[in-house]
Amino acid sequence: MTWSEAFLRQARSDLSIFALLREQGEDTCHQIHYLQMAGEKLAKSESAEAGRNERPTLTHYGLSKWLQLLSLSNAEVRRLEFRSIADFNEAKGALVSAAKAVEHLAPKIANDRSKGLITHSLWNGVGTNAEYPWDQGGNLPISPVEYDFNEAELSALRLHRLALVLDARIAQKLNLHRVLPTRR
Amino acid sequence: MQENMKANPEFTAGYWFPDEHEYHLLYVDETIVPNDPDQGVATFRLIESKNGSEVTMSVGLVRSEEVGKVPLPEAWKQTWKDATKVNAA
Repeated sequence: MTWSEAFLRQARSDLSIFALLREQGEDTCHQIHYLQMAGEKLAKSESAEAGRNERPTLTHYGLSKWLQLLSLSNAEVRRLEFRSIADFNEAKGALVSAAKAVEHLAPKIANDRSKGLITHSLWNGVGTNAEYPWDQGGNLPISPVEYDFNEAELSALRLHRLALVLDARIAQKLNLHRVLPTRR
Repeated sequence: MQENMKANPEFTAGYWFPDEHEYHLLYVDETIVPNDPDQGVATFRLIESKNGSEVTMSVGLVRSEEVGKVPLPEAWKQTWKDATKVNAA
């Protein structure tokens, strides 16, 4: 097994847990957490290092960058359930926004934000993330499970579309069936 | 490269690093989180079909303040001095 395939297989498993949590109506933070992990691993599998069969060293910021750079043929965009390259390019902005929102919920990135290392994000300066409680200010902690994650970039539809793209790409690369239900 | 910049209006410029085996490209995008200065530019392996043949590319994103400064991937033999700048149309 190559490094790329190893990361793809783990990404596929993460995505199947995302699907399970969503189907069972589990808390949004857990759904986002698994989607974030699946996206991070897919991006690592697509890294130039993995392409040379070296262990990828990408950070948590890989998914949105990979999506932004993705350039596909007509056949490939159809496998991702878009009618044409133009349709895919039109949808790409929303996909990248959702990917950025999701990856910015990784605890490491939340920590970077709270330290001011990142100044452009949905959650500037606070520790909003999908895993650990954070201080809302004035020593008032909140748990991810109590936060509603109702930002537009994280709408159920946006997350669903992002998950479908990840699923289709992983299935295509591994030559396996998808783990999310597809249109009939 | 121009096609990619047309499809991605957030790419304000591109840099091409000549290589005999594959395309090495970096696009300037101010919307991204800066690259890790210790790890250098994060690059992805993309394969594009052009006129019936497949072209392998190693592609990354940088912010304008990183141009000429952020370390290039270790596997690249080129330096920033080898780069040719391509402006957005």
